[in-house]
Amino acid sequence: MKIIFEGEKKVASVLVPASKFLATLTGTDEEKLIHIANKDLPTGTKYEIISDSVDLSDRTFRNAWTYTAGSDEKTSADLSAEDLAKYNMKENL
Amino acid sequence: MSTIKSSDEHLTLNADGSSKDIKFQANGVEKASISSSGAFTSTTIDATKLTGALPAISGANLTGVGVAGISSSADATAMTIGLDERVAFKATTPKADLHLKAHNNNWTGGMLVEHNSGNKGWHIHPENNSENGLWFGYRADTTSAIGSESVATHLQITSDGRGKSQFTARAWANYNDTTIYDSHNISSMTDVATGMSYANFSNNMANSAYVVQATSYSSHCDKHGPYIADCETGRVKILSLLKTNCDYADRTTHFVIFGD
Repeated sequence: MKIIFEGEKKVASVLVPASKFLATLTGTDEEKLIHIANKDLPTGTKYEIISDSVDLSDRTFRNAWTYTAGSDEKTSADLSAEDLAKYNMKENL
Repeated sequence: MSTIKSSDEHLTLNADGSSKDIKFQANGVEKASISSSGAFTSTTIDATKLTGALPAISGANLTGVGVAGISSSADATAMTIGLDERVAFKATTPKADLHLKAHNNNWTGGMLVEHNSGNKGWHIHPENNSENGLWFGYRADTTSAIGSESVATHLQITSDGRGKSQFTARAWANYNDTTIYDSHNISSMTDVATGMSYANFSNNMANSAYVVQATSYSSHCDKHGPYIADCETGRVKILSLLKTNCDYADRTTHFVIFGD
């Protein structure tokens, strides 16, 4: 699964989790992606989790991709103080 | 069977005269004695019948117990050899052939491998912190007392498999737009636009003054190269730039990062 959100210059960004990092997390695949969103996206970022089956291979107009909120849009939240310490982060993004 | 016994009172055997012993014989052969000074001597003692604590005696004449070359000032158990012949220091039950449990969470809690001369050596210490790492440090003066040692940290190996030093890579990855082929200390890659990605670190860098070495390739015969921008403690922006028109292009990119 991947995460899509509105990135720089309103172009859609695609966040791809690293498999080795996913392996360190617990919970369902969706819970793992939510954790990564909380860690790697600024707090309050609107995003959606998409399946790996979504075809993103045609990048002819990559810079014209836009993010449109779907029915299962989520919002990134703060990490716990314990997680911040674990990831050597001084504060939430 | 003959028995010497008293009737509800003390039984006294008295060897009369100076320096006379009390002797015990079996079949006319002496088997034990108690000297006039009170020393008990026996040809053998059935150890299975012994109970209680040994008195504070010298072990200088003990044989067959392998103590030659070993000295100890300990007043508590410092070393345990298990029934399986595994050895533990400080720990009470060996959990490996050699099991060393740190006395404290300082450099002296662990191992000191000292050079054969010069009063200098290397410490190996299991640091008990959130990273549960194994630390390697150099001690230029081993004559200092415990608690006063000065050790320069050169390598830390964290429990999640990262190496922290000036000579170990803090992060690396091999990726192309939305595919991560392999990585280390990378939680995710963010595909921002054509030829433009962020590498998000699993464990943040200590500062943004780190070094990124990157290269990219493709089957195209164009001239291109990676371009590093926005080094942050939590992520770094990597772009793939075409030399022909300074435009960006998707290219498989490798990078490796060194720093604090």
